[in-house]
Amino acid sequence: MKVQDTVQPAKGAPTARSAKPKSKWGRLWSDVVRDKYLYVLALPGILFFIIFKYIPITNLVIAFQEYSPYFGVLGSPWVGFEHFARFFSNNDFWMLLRNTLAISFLSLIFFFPAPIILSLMLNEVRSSLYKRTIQSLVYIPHFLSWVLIYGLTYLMFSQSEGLFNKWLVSMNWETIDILSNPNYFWGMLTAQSIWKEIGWGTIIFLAAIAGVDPQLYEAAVMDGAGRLRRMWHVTLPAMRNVILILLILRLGTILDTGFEQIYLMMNAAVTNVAEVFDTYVYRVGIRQGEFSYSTAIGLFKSIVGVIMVVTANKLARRYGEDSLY
Amino acid sequence: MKNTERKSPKSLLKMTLLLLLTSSLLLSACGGGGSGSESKGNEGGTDSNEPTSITIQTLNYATEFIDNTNALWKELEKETNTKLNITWLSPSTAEEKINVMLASGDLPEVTFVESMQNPQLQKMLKQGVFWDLTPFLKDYPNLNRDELKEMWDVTKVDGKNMVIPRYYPSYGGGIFPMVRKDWLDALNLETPKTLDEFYNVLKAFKEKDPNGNGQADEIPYTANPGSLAYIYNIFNETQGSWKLQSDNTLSPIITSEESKEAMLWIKKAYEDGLFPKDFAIMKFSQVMDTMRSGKAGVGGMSMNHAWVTGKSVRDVDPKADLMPLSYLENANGVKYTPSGSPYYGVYLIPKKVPEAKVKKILEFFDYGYSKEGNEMLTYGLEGVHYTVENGKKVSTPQAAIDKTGDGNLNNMIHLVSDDMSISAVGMPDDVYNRNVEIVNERKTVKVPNPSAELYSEAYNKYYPEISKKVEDMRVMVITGKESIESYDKLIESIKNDPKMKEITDEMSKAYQEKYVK
Repeated sequence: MKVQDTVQPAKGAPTARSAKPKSKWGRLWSDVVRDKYLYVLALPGILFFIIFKYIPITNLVIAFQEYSPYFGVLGSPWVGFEHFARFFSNNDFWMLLRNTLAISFLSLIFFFPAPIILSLMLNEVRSSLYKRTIQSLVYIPHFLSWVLIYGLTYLMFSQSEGLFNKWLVSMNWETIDILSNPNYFWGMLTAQSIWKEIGWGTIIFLAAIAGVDPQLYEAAVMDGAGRLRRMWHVTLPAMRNVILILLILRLGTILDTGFEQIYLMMNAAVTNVAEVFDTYVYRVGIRQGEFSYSTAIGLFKSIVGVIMVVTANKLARRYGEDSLY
Repeated sequence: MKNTERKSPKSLLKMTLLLLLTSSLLLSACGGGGSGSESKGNEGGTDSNEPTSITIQTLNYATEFIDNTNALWKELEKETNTKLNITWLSPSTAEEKINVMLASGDLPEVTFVESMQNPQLQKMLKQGVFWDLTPFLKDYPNLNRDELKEMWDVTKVDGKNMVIPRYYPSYGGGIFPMVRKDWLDALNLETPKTLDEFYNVLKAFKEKDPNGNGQADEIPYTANPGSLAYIYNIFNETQGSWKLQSDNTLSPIITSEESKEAMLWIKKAYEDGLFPKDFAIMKFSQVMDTMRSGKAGVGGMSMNHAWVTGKSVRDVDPKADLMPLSYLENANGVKYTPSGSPYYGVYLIPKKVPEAKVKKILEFFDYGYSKEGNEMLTYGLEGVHYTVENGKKVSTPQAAIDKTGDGNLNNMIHLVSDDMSISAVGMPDDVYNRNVEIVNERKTVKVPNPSAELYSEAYNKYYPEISKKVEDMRVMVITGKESIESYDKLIESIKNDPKMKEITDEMSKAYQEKYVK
């Protein structure tokens, strides 16, 4: 679609070729013939999506089957919505939904704005050397794996060896059980995510800020705007589109909570607040070999994701903002 | 650019398509490499001079995996006239890989599955995916050795031998306390025989400074919830998760009164500070790290760790001496020691393998279970990898280069001997002799294991969830985050759960079908 848009101006007035009114498909075909090189350029990308994204989608039918590897997708017996019924009637369903939504919303409220705030702050820094050093430093955690971060967290907060607890002991205070306390679990996850990704998240916002016309700031100064006013009336509005689009995309993955992090941080004492759809699918689907059941859960997640994106996009359009599509 | 412009658009399109096609062909050729080489080998095995190619996938506990450049690998190929294509699975990812492999249906000619209870395997056995080996087995004398008789018996599926079990001794394996003998001696304590004595030893380790550095820095027992499962078995007087009742039905021990007592025993020990503070969140590797650091008095492990881990502890504390306990008695005076069926993991041959090759594969295993072949896989070749002095095998430097001992080829086919579970490379004589004594003492303790080799679909479907709930609840109660009342409530709800009833009925039925004639 994009390809067509870019060549639109070249089209000009209707030529002799398309003088006769054609059907929709016929017009598409003549477009394809005319822009064939562009289509050839797009071909590898299109093939990629067909082979690796669209063809695998057809295997989703195993969510409605009692899938057996031996019989394959074509030979396995159909069971209709049995797996969905089992999932929704499961006592754990509400717990999973609660945990997933809680973790997602915490991350939406605290983790999502964090890079925005950081990039606003970085934007106000005068010394460009200082600014660039800080920028590089905050990128680093992004490249650490979750396993390493789990290890660091353990070294910091475990009760017997944790630095934090050792410090508490040295001050003659009681040690705090942080890692196996259900009350702290969600907070710990959010804090970890912020620590790991805040720097990386600023890249796109800083790029948006860089696009602001300096004259706007000058005009604002002339009007007597202070730093905060400039941030509020100039910088933030310039970032609004980017923030909105990222937010819509984020809503689409509302039921994805990041498997690795939670799986690593989970322990018997916090399962009640830690078990989410992703870990459940892993435990039941991969470990117990219930592929149909876990596919059904995955499908449910995707459908919720699609609904969220479409709704958010509609809302954005209604309020006159730039939307995703 | 100029050149392409001159070409006719048609030929350009053709060329692009051609390029794409060739590249995709190339890619698929790479992907298919594995299966291609499979069929390349001597399918029928009719020409006896040509080596038969066999693809095998199996577990490997070694830290470094060997490949076909290894001298022993070559020796094995020469002896069996085969060309081996072995895929090693590391233990931490084996379960997932095996499940995915079974799901894909693309099975190697010799497929390893860790547990007969694997739900997918059970389904596939019913669907007849694998060869029934019963008619062939009688032709292979080494597979019919007396020592192996039991493992063939217990792995029968509906009276047929569908699998080649991988031998592992019944006794010596499994998680059970390993005690610092030097700490016992320092405090003049006897080796504990009962659970109460064991408790007192742990308490003494905490309070009486067994390492003599004047600080209370000892961790009496390094454990996490998973490594204490045997405590529940001691209280319930049975192996596994099920107990046989007098009317030949099975009852789950997870809901029993005895299990609650076991939990309270652990709770008391936790409150007395006998376990690490991070008990609830420690992974098994962290439990073992604590043991190796020399700070802990007891750890749960199999008997060969008297040296595997014992050696590392000795690096930190030269006096350290790890000694496995023989058994522990509960309050009723009933002894418990871990034991299992004499195999660990099974090999299967899919039906797509032609009959002649099945025989060739059995021949290969026949060699592996022959006295000569079996020792070769573990110790290597006499004169090259070891020399015999006073009837004992002493490793040469070449042994380390060719990676003999635990792991690699030895993991494919275990040594048919107790040494598999109680010995380790470089284990000093005194530790080894004491281990022999202890394993012989363990063998006098027979704990019933009624649920071994039983399969129930309801069990596979529902039990993992139920047991996880109970295990989590236990940890919460032990660490004081939940009350005993909420534990009782959970157990009550499980007892009334129709799913639990279905599991219990199916398990009892499976037991009666297998053992009650």
